[in-house]
Amino acid sequence: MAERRSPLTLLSLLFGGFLAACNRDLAAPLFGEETAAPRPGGRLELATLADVRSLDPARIASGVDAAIAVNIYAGLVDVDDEGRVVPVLAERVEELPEEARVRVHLRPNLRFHDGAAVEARAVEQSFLRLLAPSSGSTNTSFLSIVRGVDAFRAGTAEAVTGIVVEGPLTLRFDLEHYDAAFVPSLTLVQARPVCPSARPPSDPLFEPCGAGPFTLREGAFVRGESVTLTRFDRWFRAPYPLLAGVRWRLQVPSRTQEMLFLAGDLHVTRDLPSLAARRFLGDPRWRPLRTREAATTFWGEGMNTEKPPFDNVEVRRAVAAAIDRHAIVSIDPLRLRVGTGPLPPGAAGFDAALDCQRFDRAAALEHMRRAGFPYDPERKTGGIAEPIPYLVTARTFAERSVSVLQAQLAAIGLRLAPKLVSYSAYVAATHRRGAATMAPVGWTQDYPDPTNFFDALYGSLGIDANDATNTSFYANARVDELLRNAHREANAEARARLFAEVSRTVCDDAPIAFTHVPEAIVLRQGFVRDFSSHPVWLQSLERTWLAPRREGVLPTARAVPRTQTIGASP
Amino acid sequence: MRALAAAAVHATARATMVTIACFFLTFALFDALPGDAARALAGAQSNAADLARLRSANAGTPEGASYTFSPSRFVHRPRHHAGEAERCLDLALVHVDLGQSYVYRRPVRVLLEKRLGPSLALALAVATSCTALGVFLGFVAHGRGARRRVLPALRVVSAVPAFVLGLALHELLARQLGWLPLEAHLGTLGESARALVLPTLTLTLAMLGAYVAVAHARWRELAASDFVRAAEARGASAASALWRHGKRQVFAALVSMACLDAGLLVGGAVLTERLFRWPGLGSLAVEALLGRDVALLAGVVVTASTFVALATAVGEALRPLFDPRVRY
Repeated sequence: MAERRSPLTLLSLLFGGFLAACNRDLAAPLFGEETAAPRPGGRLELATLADVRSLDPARIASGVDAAIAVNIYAGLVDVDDEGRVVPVLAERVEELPEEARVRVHLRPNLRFHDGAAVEARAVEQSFLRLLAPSSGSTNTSFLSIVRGVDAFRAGTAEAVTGIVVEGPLTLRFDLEHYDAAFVPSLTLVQARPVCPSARPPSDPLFEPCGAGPFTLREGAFVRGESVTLTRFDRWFRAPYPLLAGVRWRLQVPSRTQEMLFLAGDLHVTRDLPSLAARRFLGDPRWRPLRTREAATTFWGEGMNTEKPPFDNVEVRRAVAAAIDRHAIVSIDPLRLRVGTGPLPPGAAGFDAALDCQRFDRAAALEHMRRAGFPYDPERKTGGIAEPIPYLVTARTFAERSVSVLQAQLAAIGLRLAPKLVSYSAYVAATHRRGAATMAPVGWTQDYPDPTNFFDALYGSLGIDANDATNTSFYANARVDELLRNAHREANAEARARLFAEVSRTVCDDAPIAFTHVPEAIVLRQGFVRDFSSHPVWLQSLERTWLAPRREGVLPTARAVPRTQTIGASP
Repeated sequence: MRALAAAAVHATARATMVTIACFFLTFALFDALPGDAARALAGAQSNAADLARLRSANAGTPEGASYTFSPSRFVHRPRHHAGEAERCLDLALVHVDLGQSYVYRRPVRVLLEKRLGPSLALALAVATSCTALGVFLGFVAHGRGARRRVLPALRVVSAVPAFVLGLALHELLARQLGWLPLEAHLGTLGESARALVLPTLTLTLAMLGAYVAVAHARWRELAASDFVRAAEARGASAASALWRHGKRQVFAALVSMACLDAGLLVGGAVLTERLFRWPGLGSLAVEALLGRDVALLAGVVVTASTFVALATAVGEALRPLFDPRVRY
């Protein structure tokens, strides 16, 4: 008998050991000297789950690429930690609504990483590089409003007539008409000037070079492994940046990130597995080291307004009223917040007072009755007999929440038929007209203006046969008019009123039933100081510094290989 | 000699056919998948105008093939065009143009070269350890008492998915005991060797059950064979007679198996590579698939399938070394 137990014993030992290892006490955070003043030096260690595909502003599309690239490339303007648009390379930006012009005055004595002066001509050349017909740039739509851009893209003009160099440090944009979203859109990573010596985007030999606070030295970007940035000594906001360098390890699984973080080899992490995140936040030593991140993404249930039954607005309203957001958020309460409106709390233009969509099952049943599909919840009769296809992407939150959603909608007589698909199948189906009936939809702020959300998701311009961003295919002439006016309105209060009406209309018409807002769990070691999350670029590193580690505070006594640090390491 | 040459030609022809079949099958499946490269590159939030410009900008360029697959693009060019030298693989009279990765903007050949070494090292390490341990543990399991312990225990371990084994080993050997690095860092030879241990151990444990079972069955057959009995009759102990006269035959059985597995591991150890950040071809294939990077995927498929075919041929070629009855 003893011999027969051996495999079971081995199995038990294996899993017992694994579980015990997972449940052991967390190591203490590594703290720095309490009295230490901000000091330069040290290398901050970060990690990402994904690889970096490109560090050319013209080619950037993913959040990870952008979060790294913004440290290499400074913009004419940028978003500050509070989400406001502030000048960076520009000393000031003049908006001239009557003349449909924007004049940018550059700061004097600025340098690119290659030593060239940051002047208007170099900035103009950088925009031409981005717009060149052969560039294959991922995002140039924000420049379509500049005069002469179409002709340049078509190859019929050698320059963009609407980008005018007025002086060595003055650049003017002539617009087709005034657009209040133009200056915020210049915060996009694509709008950031590259060095005059930079090769075209289509050239494989391109080397990242900008005017940002950090430089990328030759050989410091190893695909699939790491990106290491070094402090740019000629950055104009001296003594910043304080860090001598920053290294991102690439493609590090969340479990490995946890191990590296506990060993002190990773200084900040935002990709902890759920179980680990719960343990960290449940530990009073670690709780104060969580960095709150402004939520600039929302998620909801998108309903195709061109397909039955969602071509009936009452059915959409019924869905919006039938969803108990708290029940959905309770699936992962650490990472999710209830979201009931068309903008997430960290996005520009968010209105906390907006009474948008709320859970009210009685109201949902009434909407179903008005739609012509009365449902009796006692007898469970009525409603819509035909199951509604619902696309669910594998290994996402939607896969976990679909059963809750199914139950909530079944309570008002709607039957969901979930269909599990890959991410690429989901993207292909939701962006194609007539392909998907219902699917989760989300949007992340690209630049700080409400039009970033509203144009894409609710404007008719976002509708396309194959590449729609308005994946509900929601068309409302009044919304289109309001958005058009909001673009041309220079007065902030008047714009806010226009956006408020758009929000109310969208809340009522419910092309999307807004459900939740994801919130990242960002943890740092105690010696990492002045580290803050950023509303667009994940983190702000310019003022971050590393305090000297306090003696004797080590995570464990075992030998863990340490990473090499540059300069005055903590 | 003539038979050996005929066998070599036969093996080469078979390897070529396997590679071509894999190539076309992969692209038939790839074409059937939804989505396109422009969307994958520009992101889910890109609008129709930007996507149209992106597609238009890439039409006619090496990356343009990402949109319409054309296998003839990759093979048999009489000579290089300007600027193609970095992209092409020269095989005697044939130039194989692997093109340029749409996502990474680098020649596929360059990306593959960086990943092939680590993949081969991992595959060889796993194949070698599986063969050596398989022969040894199969022999141990042949013992009367040990059979009931070794084989069921290995079956249990093999039944555990490789990534679970990997997580457990990672936790124990890297985090708890600190014997091995938490992540792969291919610096010096020593660092690379240390980094290779965890992925090798994980894959070996996951695959070892099958090797031991095959070896054990072979040892049992050999134990009943006349030549082993004759050795015993001449005074050798049962164990030493069996080991001395049987090991080459057991090796022969496992080497063929190991060669096939090594070929598969060159491009297929995806989960293990990702778990330990081992920079192999498997994780590159996943990136290519997610990014709809057809040229890169083509490169990985051609490389991996070539190695499967090559490894099979090597396995065949090695058999006479272990089994003198096999002759070419």
